[in-house]
Amino acid sequence: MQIEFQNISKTFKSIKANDNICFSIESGTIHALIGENGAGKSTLIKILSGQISPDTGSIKLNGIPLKLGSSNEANIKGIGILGQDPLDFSNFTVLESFVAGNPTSYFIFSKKNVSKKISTYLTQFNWTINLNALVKDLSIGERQQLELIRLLDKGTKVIILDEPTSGFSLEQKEKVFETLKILAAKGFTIILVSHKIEEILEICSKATVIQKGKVVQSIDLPTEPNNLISLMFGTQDLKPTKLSNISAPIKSQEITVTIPASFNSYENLCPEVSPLIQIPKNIILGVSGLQGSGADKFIQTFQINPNNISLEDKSLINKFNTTYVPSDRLEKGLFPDMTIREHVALTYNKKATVDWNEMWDLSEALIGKFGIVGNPNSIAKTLSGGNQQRLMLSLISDSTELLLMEQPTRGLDIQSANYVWDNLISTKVNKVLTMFSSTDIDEIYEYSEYIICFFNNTIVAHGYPIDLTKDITMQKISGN
Amino acid sequence: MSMYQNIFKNIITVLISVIIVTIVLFALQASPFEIYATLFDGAFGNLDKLSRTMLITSIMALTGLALVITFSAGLWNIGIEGQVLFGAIGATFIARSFLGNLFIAPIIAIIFGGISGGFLGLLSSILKTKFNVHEIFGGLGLDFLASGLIVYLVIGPWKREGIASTGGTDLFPEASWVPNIGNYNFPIFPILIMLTIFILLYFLLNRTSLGLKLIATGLNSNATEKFKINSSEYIAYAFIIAGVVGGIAGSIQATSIYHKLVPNISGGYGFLGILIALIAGKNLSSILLISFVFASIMVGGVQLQLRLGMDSSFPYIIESVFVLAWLITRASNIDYKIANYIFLRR
Repeated sequence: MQIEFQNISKTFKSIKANDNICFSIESGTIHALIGENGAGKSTLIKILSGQISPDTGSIKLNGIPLKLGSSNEANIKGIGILGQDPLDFSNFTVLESFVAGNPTSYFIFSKKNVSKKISTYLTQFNWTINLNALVKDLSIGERQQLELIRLLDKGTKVIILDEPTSGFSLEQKEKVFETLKILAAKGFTIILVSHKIEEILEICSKATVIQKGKVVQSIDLPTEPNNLISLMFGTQDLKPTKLSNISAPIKSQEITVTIPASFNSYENLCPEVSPLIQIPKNIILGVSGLQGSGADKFIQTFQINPNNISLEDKSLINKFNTTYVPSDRLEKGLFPDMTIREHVALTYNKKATVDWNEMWDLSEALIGKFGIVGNPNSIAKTLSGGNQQRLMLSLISDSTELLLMEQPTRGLDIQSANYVWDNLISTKVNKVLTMFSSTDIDEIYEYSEYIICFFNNTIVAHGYPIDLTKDITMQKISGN
Repeated sequence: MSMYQNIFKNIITVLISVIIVTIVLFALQASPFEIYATLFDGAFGNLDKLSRTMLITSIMALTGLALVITFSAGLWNIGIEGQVLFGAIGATFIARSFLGNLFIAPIIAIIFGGISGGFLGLLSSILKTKFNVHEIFGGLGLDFLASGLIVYLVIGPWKREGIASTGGTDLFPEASWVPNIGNYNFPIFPILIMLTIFILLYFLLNRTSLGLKLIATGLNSNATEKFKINSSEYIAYAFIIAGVVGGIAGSIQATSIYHKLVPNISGGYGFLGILIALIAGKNLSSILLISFVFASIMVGGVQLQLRLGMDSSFPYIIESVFVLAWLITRASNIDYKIANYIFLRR
């Protein structure tokens, strides 16, 4: 089925997620959709599958316009998504899960017929899965294979794979890719959303690169990997960073960061990466990596084990002078049902009793200083994302020596993001180390004085921005 | 919402609930006012009846107050029944020992009863935080343990001279009984204990760092690590405090009502406390009010049967309709709106 995107635009609040997207996907091909996190891939996929409707634009399937904004319609037209997490029932057997997940579920079903049907697919693709095994005992790869069968059984003609291979073993990946090639040859249209360059080059015949909501280019594959990477991350405007860190690094190496062994398991692949990082005090350390690369996990390990960071003068980094600011603000960072004043009391009140008047004054002072829109009695969950982040900044006590920020500007608008960074830069001198993770490579290069690159739960490179250039980082975090 | 506004809201809830109960009674073709008059007379008609009502109120309120603490920390303290029993065992231990004849024996008995209940609470928290046993299962197990222990003590080591029956131990020496003032058996001390604990817990939850962290643990245990709150520690505090308060309820049962240890000494007030706390919804002053209403219906209800010849289940029907009406009123927020409206007009 040939798919044609015409002038698709979608704006969320003030962010243009899709900006006049036009391109087409030929029938019987495997087409890659690539771009950074937040480039607008998911939005486009959601529009195609009818989960959201675009502000403007249309989609044509084989020249016939698709009714947008209806997932039912997309279903009928045979558009199906294979997501990152398999949708199945972990306590069921494979067979039961398959029946339960079928929209035209049978009131009475014959185990024999269903198992025959699944077996036909399995032999066709040369897969082996025990139908009586419990779903929870299968690997992620096997569960995705089942999910693919379920989609095909539903009559899906356009298969969208949204980063399906995270958690796959190499062997399974080969099997699934082989199947995808067979399906494409049979006339199925397959869209692969990914940021793993090698995968794309392996099976796709064409790729459309999206950046900041716009189509950069649709190019025929194969091509040079570097070519794709530079398209993906955009033209390299090496604007001077705010911290003028291009100048030679200071040689007084006062802090030693020991990389926990679990992040260093790639010995064979990256022998050049040293497990000790020596850096000066009072700097901002950026941990770069795409979503799920392990960068966030790395940040979290220092909350549990702050003594992986040691200082030359032997002064101590411990749990009490470490502050961790998670990216899930309402999940792990705040108490959604508590007021600003209660958060302030939890952080700053060191006495056994709480003087709520004193806390009110302190809250008002912090609200003023950090520009939070609200009053001391505002409940955390009613604040906007930007204000929640400001509240979290206001709760970083002055005694903090190690600040761990997990994706500090995730989901924030530009104004709030700038505020966060102004604050972090102005307070970094009071701290031994400010460490942050980000999936946005521009943010990493704008603010970091030292950079660690993550791919697949492993540190693949680290260095000063002057040595470790943006190009190298891009290559490294995409696994090249 | 201020404390006065809160009390005011409670009164409105009771009024609305009583109106609903009245409508139901009409529908049952009973005569509501006759029933209310009988209930009132049965519960408060003379000093004896009033004393009984107030004694039951104080014990119910104590178990309810205990549970507000664990509910605030997000815990289901099903072990409260066992904590009440342990309190009674602790008090009995003191009363039977050489301390039982001392002038201050009741005080020591109640304090030791509280410690015993707190100990059982601590066990619940250890099971939960160290061994990953959910507090509902751990609590239930400890309830069985406590009732088993009581039966063992009553027919074993603490049995009456020459007889081993589940009828209870020997009466405590009179020095260990919670005294009355003058010749009236009005339960002044249990009421004072209830009010003291109410004030202490109110202070704990609203004015202390411990209370705030306890509530925080209950609201979002994922965020406690970020705020450097050791959630296991606060879970333990919540269980110990609830256990102590439950234990005090048990020791009052032993030293003030039965004056001996009997196997069913908790009277089921532990489990009833869970119901009361659920209705009150973490609100301490509601606990006092609901306990009072429950106790009145329970004591006064006897007269419905005696005087009006009604079925013995009738008080329970009134009680359950009251509970439903209360819950509906709270869920609909009508009481809050009325309270706010009247307060703003003033």
